Amino acid sequence: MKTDEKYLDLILKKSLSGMPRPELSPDFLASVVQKISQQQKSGPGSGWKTLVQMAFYWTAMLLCSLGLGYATKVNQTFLPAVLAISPLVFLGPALFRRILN
Amino acid sequence: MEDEKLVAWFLETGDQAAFSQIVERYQKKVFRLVCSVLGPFSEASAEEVCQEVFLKLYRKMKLFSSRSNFSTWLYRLAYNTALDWRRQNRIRISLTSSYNDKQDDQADYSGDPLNTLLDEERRILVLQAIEELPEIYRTITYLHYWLDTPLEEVAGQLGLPEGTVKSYLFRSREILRKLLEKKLTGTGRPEKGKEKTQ
Repeated sequence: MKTDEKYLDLILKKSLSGMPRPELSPDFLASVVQKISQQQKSGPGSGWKTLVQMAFYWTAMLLCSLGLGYATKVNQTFLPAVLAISPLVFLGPALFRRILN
Repeated sequence: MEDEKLVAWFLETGDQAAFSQIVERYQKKVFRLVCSVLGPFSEASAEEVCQEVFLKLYRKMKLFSSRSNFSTWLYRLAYNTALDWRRQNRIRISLTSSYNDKQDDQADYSGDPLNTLLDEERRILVLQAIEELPEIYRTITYLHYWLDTPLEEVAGQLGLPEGTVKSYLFRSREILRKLLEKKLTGTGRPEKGKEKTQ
C-alpha cells in the first residue's frame, strides 16, 4: 500500500466514506423533552433533602463525640475536630464536580 | 427566528417550544460532532451523549452570554461533553471485531473477493491509525473524511479558523502517513543513508 502524502487523501476518502454513517433516531427530541420533565419532577428539592439529612446526622455524631470526649476525658478535641472536617473531605469533591458541571 | 433571540425568549418565558426549536435546529450537527469524537461503531453511546449535551444546555442556558455566538458555545459544550465521556469510558474500541460484525450484516459479495478483503484490511489499518491520532486531529479527520463535513462547517463546529482546520488536517495526514508506514513495515521507512548502502 502506498502511503505517500498524495495518496493518503485518496486512501482516507476511500476507507472512510464507505463506512456506515450513524443516524439520529426520529424520536430524539421527544426523549430529550421527556428526560427534562423527569429531571424537573425530581427537582432541586431532592438534593436539599439529602443535604439536610446529612447535616442532621453529622451534627448528631459531632455532639456524641463531644459528649464521649468529655465523659472519658481522653481525646477531647481530636475526635470532634476530625468529625468537623469530615464533611469537607466527603462533600468537597462532589460539590466541586457539581459546580464544574 | 435567530438563535440568540430564541435563547433570550426561552430564558425570559421558559417556553418549552423555544427549547424544542433549538434542539431541532442543532440535533443533527451536534450528533455528528459527538460521533466524530467518539468514533465509528458507537452509535448508541453517541445518541446518549447527545441527549446529555441538550440536558446540559437546558440547565446551563442562563450562563450563555449574548456577546458570544450561540452555535459556537453549543458546539464547545458538545465537544467537551463527548470528550469527557470518551475519557471516562476509556474507549478502546476493538475496531477489528466491531468492523467485522458490522460488515457481516452489510456484506456485499458481488465484487472480487480478493479486492474486498484487501479493502477491508486497509480500512481496519486506517481506522486503527486514526484512533492513535491526538484528539483534535482525530475529530477533524472523522468529520471531514467519514461524515463528509465541509471544512468551513468543521471550522464552525470546532470554533477554529478555516486555515487552522486545513493545517490540522495536513498535520493529521502527516502523522497518519508515519503511523501507516510503521504498521506496514514494522519499523517505518528506512533512512536515506541506509537505503544507499543496502
